[in-house]
Amino acid sequence: MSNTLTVHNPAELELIQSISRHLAEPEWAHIYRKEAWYRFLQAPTPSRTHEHWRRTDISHLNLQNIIPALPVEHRAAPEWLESLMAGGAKRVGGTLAFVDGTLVHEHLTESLRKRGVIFTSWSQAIQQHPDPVRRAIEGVDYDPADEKFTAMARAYATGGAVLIVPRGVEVTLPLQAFFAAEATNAVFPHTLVVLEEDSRVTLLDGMLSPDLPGRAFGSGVADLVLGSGSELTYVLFQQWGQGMEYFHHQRAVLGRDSHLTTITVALGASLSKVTIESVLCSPGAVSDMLGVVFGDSKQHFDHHTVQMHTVGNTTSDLLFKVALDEQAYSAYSGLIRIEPGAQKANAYQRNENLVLSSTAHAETLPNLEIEANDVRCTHGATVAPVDVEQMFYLMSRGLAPRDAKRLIVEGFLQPVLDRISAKSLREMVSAKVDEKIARRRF
Amino acid sequence: MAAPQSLLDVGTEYQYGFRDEIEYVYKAEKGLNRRVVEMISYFKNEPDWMREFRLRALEIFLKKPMPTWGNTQLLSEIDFDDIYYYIKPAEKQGRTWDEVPETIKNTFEKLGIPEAERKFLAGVSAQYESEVVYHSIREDLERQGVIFMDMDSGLREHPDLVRRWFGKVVPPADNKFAALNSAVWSGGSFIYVPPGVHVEIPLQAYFRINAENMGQFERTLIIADEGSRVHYIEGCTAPIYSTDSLHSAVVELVALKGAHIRYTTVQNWSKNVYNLVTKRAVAYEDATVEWVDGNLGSKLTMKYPSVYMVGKGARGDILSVAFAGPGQHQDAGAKMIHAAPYTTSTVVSKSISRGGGRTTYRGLVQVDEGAVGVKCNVRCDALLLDELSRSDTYPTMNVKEDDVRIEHEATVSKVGEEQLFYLMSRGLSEQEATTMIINGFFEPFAKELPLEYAVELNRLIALEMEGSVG
Repeated sequence: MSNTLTVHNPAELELIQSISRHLAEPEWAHIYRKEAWYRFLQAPTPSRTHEHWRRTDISHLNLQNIIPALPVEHRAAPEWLESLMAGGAKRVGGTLAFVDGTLVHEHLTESLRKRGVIFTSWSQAIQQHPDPVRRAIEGVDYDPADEKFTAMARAYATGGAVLIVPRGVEVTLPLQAFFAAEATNAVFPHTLVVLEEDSRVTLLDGMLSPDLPGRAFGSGVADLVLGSGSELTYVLFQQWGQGMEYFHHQRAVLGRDSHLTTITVALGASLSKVTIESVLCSPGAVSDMLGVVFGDSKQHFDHHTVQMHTVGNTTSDLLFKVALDEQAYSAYSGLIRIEPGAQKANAYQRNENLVLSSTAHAETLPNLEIEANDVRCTHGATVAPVDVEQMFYLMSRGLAPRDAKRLIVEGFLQPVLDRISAKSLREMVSAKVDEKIARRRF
Repeated sequence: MAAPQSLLDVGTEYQYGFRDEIEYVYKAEKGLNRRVVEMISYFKNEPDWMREFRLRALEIFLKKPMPTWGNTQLLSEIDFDDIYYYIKPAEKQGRTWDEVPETIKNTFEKLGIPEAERKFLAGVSAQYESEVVYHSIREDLERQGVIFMDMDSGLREHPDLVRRWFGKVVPPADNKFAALNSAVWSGGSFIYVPPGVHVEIPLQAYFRINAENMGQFERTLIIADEGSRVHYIEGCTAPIYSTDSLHSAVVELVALKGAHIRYTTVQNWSKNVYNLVTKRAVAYEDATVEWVDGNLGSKLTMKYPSVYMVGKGARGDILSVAFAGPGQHQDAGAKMIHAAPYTTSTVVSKSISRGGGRTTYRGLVQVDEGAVGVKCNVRCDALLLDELSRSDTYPTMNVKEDDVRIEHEATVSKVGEEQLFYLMSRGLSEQEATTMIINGFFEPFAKELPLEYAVELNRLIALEMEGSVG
């Protein structure tokens, strides 16, 4: 079977129909895909005149010509992915791995399976557990600024991860889903997480590929639904290879007294534009949002965070750390929005930029929109080089300047990584970050 | 003159809202076109280059779209065809108040200008509609070579100096409203301070809109030569009408090596005035520019004073205070452009919204390549007095160099309950306690105000609000 559809004009419904056919999707899932596809066609391609897109130029992309790869049978995980999965296998409750949109690995411990945890691919989830999936996607909201890309991801996703944790179930071992790219030039990761009441879980989404020979494109979407009293730790680990241009929208909807911790780790891709959004729409909801970006060469990062407080008595806390070397560019823009009537909301937002070379370029735009008065909203942003006093201290202890600098960068990023409480995931992510730091000559 | 009892009263009772019946010497037709621009230039007997400058600017204005950011709703309500772009109130400019037409003089008497001048100003300029009707400067300053006159006279009497700098700091193509001003400007101040001269006492300009549907487009250019010092203050008021007026000024400051300019604004337009102003300064080596910007009045203000630090060691300070009551949107802020090494800047913004008012801080800090050793600190505090009001903070930091230190902090909160409790336990009413807390919030601004005519501000301003903020 051919890996790529030969559709010359993607504006033919045939493309969407063949994806649905290929995955043997029921009618409702096909309608969901079709609606997304129509939205994709209709939404205007963002340009730099739009505030949200001002800092990322996508005029070279011809989105209509980008075509998804269809899943193939009997595909094996590449060696590098195998070894990554083997690393913490014993301390992980379940793993899903997709390569170029094809499921290559699926594992979930027996005990979790027995307790009703669903952790499987999109195509299996819609067959075996249609009701919860259907309910979850009914509430899907298209953010107008990112609609072109989120709609594209929903329309073209072939391999997607679905995690549903039943009421009251606490999953102690972390789960991980890998979306890898190898031979294709377009990936569409899709994650749906539904936590029922009082459940608890940690999930890592890993976006990985080796350096790619030419240009590749990716558009991903993650929908996180937290039921009341539930607790989710969600790690987005992005290490696409060079050549990848990746767009991602993560949207979490927080129920009453739920607690979300999201940790975004961005190391890879030539260009990435990511929106991390938490909607606090029930009292007692808490969203902790952390991020780490480490860029070098000519990498372009554009991260946007949204702390949307639609009701009162909600709390959000954000810390985004960016380290930039060589000619890397990072734009961080964050919005805290307190809707009218959302009294007693408490929101904090902090962005720190560590600039390691005079050719690196950091932009930060921490924004507040407050329409309630009995609130506490604070934000802070800094841009600074490596502290000379810290350098002096380390060098006086016998460290070479480059080692001292390395240590300072590690020390700058580590506090965020430490918030990944699952040891196996924390070690894996930290090792990847350290690897990248170690590669730097400084 | 009477001062409001507290800041809470600001905007509830606008004491400058009176209007006066004036017979104008000349009133242009409503609307904007080439003929109006040429007529203004003809009336002013301007050199060719200025007429061409105006006409070029008009074309830019007509071509440029309205801003797509900010309060686009209010902006879209401006009807450019329903505005008088030029109104000449008097035949000639007075050097003494006796030379000013009686009715206009009365207006300024009511505003307290002549009294303030006698007490503590080195020079005064009073603009009524499109033209400056009164102008004076102390003789000792004039002897030292200080030039302080209205912009039209400046163009006539010092053509070389004006031509060298006019439109250089804020070019007409900068934004739509700068283009509009460049096309139809009239009045404003022209100041030149020779090298080494320190003007210790402030110079003041007072702007008054009286006519309905008036557009006031004054143009101010201040050049502080090497090592000189000057403090300029402007105040603005207008009557209350049911239709809107437009005030769109351009202010250009040039601080040459080692010079120091302080520019203070107390903007108290009535709530039917659109205040869309471009203010920008260039600071050369070791020069300092301070903007002290108070926005109390107007319907919509969009104003972001900026300092372009183009010489080593230059410094910029912006202190911005905004108060938005019912129906008001104060969209104010600051821009600091660090284009040279070892330049430093601070921005302090304080805002209060009440009764459905909206305040916005919109700012930019930019560090260009090669600008090493830059330090910048931005601090924004916003107070929301009720649940109807809104506060936004949109700072942008754009850093293209590594050896820099940029910090931004902002808090939004309500008046601290603990502070209120403390003050009320000492016998103050809730109203008094709130006022006291708010005054403290504005304290940094109060300290910078030397003006007696703004004494009401000082009353609004005087205590503490720590504790209610993060």
